[in-house]
Amino acid sequence: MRALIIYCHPVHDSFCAAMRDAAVIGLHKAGHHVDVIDLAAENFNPVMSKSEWNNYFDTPEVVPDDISAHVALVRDADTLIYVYPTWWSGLPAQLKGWVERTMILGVAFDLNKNNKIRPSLGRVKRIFALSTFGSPRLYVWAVHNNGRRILFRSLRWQKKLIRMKSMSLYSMDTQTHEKRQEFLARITKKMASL
Amino acid sequence: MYAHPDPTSTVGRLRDAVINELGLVGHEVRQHDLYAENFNPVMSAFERKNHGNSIDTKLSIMPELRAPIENLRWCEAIIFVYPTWWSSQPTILKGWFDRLLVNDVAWYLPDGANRIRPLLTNIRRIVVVTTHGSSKFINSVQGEPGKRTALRSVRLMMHWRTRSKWIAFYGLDKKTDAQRDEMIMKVRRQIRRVF
Repeated sequence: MRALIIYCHPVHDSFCAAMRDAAVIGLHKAGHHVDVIDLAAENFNPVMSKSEWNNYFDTPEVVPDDISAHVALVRDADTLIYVYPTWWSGLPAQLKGWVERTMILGVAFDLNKNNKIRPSLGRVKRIFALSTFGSPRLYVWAVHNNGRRILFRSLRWQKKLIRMKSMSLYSMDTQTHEKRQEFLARITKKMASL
Repeated sequence: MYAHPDPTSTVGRLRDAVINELGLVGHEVRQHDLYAENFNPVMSAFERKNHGNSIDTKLSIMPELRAPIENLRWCEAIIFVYPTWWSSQPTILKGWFDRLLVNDVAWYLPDGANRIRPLLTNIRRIVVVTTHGSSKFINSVQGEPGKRTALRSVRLMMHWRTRSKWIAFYGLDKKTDAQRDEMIMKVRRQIRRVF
């Protein structure tokens, strides 16, 4: 199996980095191939430019240089694993921009014969969202877990239903060290069981 | 708050109509055009590490945040005009939330409390004008993440009686020019009614 981890956090030694490492350890344990995209370290530019927007449906084969490697990784992957902190109940801007610029026509969706958009993520069979939240679970539920909805709902209904799974650590700021370690161990265990 | 790369797009025209209509009613308007300002939406490591610290720490090395913060504290109503991409705000606007709605600006944490309190209590109205390429049905099934982010998550940092207005246009991909002109008229009517 080929897993692609899309990791987004500005601080290189953050807890999200530990979550990413826990996932990598688990996947290696199970003998899977793992690729990691570290958006902050790559200094990824998440803003869709005017020319990209203008050519969105007209010339989908023109892929900007800075995302062509990412597009190749997505096409090769059968599991996508997003690791990110949830900010304002959504994805951090850099990750949202990665979705906008990389998940384009021909990569994440196609047009059917009536020119309607149909999700079509190539070989991807599963999507994971591993995220931390500053707020408690109830608050996240009340404002809607919008980041996860963006990642899951728009891509779920494909020719083959994609399996979605999220693992969340709520109330980040008040969690004890033991709880955090327990969460990391859960990630490793889940990934090793794939 | 306007976020679209192309000022001649339908969203650009909606923005022009909103500003024009507010002027006709006699309101003072300030605008941030995030693409024109070349706003950088990516929160830096420095900002993340100083997340809970006073805003002055950040302003000392990021003076470009001073004007938007001042405008946030000045306004009584905030209007977002953007296209919905991947069922939520475009990156450049989401990054504006990430970087501007911070401690000392949008919220504060009182000593000993474990829950943040809103600071943007000068804002009593939030209006969102947005376009969706897909139909209303598809967006409902997806749960309208952009709507919830703006009208719940962000709105909670404003006055508790802040009233919200959601002006959305669905199925833009299939709209003809005449229908788009009708959208401009509709947004004018709605803005006039709200303000």
